[in-house]
Amino acid sequence: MPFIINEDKALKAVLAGITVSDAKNAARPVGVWFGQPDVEIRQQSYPYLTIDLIDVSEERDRNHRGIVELSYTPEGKDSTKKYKTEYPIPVAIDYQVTSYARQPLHDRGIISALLTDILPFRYGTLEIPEDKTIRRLELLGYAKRDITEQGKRLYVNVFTIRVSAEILSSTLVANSPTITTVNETLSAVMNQSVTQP
Amino acid sequence: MTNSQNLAKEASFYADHVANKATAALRRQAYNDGWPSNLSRNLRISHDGESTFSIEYPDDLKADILDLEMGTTDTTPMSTLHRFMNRFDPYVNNYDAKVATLIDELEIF
Repeated sequence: MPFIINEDKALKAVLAGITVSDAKNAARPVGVWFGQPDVEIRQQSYPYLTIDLIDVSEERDRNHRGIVELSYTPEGKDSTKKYKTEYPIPVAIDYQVTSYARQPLHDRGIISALLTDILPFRYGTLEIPEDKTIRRLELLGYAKRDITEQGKRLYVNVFTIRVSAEILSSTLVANSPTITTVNETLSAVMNQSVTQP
Repeated sequence: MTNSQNLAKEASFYADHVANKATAALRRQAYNDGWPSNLSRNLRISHDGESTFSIEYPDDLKADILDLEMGTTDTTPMSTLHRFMNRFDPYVNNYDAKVATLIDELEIF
């Protein structure tokens, strides 16, 4: 799958495993949706999380120019080969993960699960199975935004996170023996030219 | 006035200039994103006299601004402030370049 969709899918997958406990259910699953789900769905399934893509920006501090051999195999390519391409364009994909809960115990359970295992303050990672890469996942910010809705308390938490990614050049060249031969021939010629007669 | 005092004064003056330009751009972006004008025109970029710039708004508008920025149960987040700050580097680079020039001109090493 293309850029961003893989990251969306991986993020949803890691968020989908959270459970919270209460008097009626010791392992109540926390639903995960992209964006704002329909009102009917939300009312039936508190607690839940939403994922919103909020920005994609170039990460200029990771920029390079030139040709590089990729350290991973792009999705859909032959994994037995190494590929050369222009340095990919580093980008940051920013998401907002919002949690909604009616019970304080659920709210605290979600905060604990997210900050402990999934969106930690330090050294967060997100595995993308499609290209077998492990991306940086940074927690940029956290805000508590509880509200009272129709006389009922709604516990809301907003986590702003960043996933590192790259946009690959459309030109990928598989390393082949021909390239090695040309390089070796060139280097042999260059060595000869500096040899004293 | 010593050269160091001159530098601080000039740098602060230029930081004001950069903050004013950024404020105009932020208000324009918020308005274009669909923020009500009573909120967008109250956004402001401020600086601490050095190279730290931040977004400010009146306390009484905080709830409305955060509702737009982070969304509510019925609305999606607009993230105008977040996206603006993600693209703030050119303003800081501009300020840093000016300060570097001033240091050269005033021969502060």
